[in-house]
Amino acid sequence: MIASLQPHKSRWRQTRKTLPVLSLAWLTLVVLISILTPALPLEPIDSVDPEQAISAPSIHHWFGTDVLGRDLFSRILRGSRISLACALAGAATALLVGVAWGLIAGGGSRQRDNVMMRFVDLVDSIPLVFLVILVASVVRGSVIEESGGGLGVFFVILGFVYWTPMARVVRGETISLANREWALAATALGSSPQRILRKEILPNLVPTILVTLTLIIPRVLLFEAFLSFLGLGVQSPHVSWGTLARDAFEVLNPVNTAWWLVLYPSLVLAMSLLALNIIGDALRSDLDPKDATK
Amino acid sequence: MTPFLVRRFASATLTIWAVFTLSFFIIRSAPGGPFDLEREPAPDIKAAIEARYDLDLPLWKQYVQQGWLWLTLDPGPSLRQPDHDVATILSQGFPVSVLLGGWALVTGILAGLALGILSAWRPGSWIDRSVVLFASLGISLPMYLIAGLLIMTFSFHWNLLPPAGWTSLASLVLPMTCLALAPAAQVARLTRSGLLETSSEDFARTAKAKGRSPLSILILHCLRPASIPVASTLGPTAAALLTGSLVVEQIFAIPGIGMHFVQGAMNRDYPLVLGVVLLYTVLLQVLTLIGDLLIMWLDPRGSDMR
Repeated sequence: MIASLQPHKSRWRQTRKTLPVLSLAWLTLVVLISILTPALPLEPIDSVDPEQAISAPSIHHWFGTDVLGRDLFSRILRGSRISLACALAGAATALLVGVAWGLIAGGGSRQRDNVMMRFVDLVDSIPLVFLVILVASVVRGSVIEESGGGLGVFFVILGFVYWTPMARVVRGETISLANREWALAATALGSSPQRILRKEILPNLVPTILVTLTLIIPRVLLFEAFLSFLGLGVQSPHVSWGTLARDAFEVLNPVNTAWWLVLYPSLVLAMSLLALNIIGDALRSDLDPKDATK
Repeated sequence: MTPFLVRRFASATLTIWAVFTLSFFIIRSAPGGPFDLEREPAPDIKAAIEARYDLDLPLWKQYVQQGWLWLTLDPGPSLRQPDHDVATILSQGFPVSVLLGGWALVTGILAGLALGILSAWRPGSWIDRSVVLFASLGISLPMYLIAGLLIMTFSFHWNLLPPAGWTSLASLVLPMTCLALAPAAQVARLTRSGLLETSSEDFARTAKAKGRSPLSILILHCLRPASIPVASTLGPTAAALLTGSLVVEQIFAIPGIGMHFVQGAMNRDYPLVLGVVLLYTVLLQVLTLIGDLLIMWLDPRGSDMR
């Protein structure tokens, strides 16, 4: 009985090891392609071809064409640049704000910690997404957007949604690390609290921060797609995975179902999200010895 | 219990006030106004319209005035739909949104619990692995992909369910499935890991020694402590559901309040937007409170009622 289970189990364990590697490979591919997009021999972004409008995937158009006859494959590649840039910029904002907030709260007095964490509680109990939509609608059509800064503002907005989980995790870890022997030893040696935070605690927070980032990046990516889908995010002529999905739903009808327009942009996004989640899970179970699923 | 409720009520009031203030000033800082039409009206006409809605007063006066109107639950007319007042619009859309969201929340949680129990019952089996796969997919697939696939198969291909609208019970099925998928995946994940953890505790071993079957140990003994994480994420889950309902209401053309929000934010219908945001905030506070009360009931040890 046990002998028959054994190979079964090890095969499962093997899958658990190869999946994160595959995910990493997929993400690397997406990032590389999106960096190289300007150098690739793609159709220009505005090459409209009415005779080819809404044609199914073929040799000439691998992913088919949209309502204006534009090649979906090259639009997805271009969209990946903006979608990834959003995710990175948003995650970077969340990283900066969250880590700073968590460190300052966790490394200071009880009172300061209390005040700062009550503020995080307050932010978490607000339906922040709706305020972000309001801000996005303010940016739309304002001076900022006309001067071309709309996308930049959009990136920063994205980061401000997801900084609270980072702040919470960093604060908790900071408090637990500050009570370890080596941190106390540093105090005994005469290091100032600021120095201990910077030189002793921050480096030891890196694994925790990385794991939290793998949770935040997919959420930002999804949130970009969500806002753009509602028409409040990335604006034409820019394309992102979210705006491509929006375009698809505008022409979705039962008579001539353009399934490729719905499927491909969302599938690329979904695979990237899945890959990020798998990597996050793998990192977490490697760092957490208590994980029962290992 | 009472001091706890009083404190929660106070913090909820503070939150609602903060949201009101923030959204009031954010939307007012937007360029353009509700009366920017394609054809610019004559300046004196525009001034007269703005005076009619008190939009010519200093901003802080409008803020106080709006705050008072909302306190008395009579926000006045919508700026872009002049024949309707905000209270009517909201009271028409709100039941629709609550029906959709409520069903999705309940189905999602129940399905998630069931899946979690199934997978913890036979850890490592094909059931377990498919549940894990479902849980990963459920939080990775963008909602519009699911919506698109469901519409194309069930509405366009098989012609079983209506692709849009809000007319019959059948038109509830597809949007509800879309909304329920993410909570189900999340709950299944939490339940599974919670059950796996608690099933190795002493009380579970004792129950096994008494001769209980594995499934009944899971359900009768382990489920209660294992579902604490589920209850503690009720607030965030509900918030995600509210967000998702914006997309779902748009795709399936459902006359809830999510549509009013996106529309109102774009064409600067100040009171309507404020109304939707406030309504969602109150809803979120209530659901978070329910989650906290559930935790207390599930785990009486930690009921210091902070």
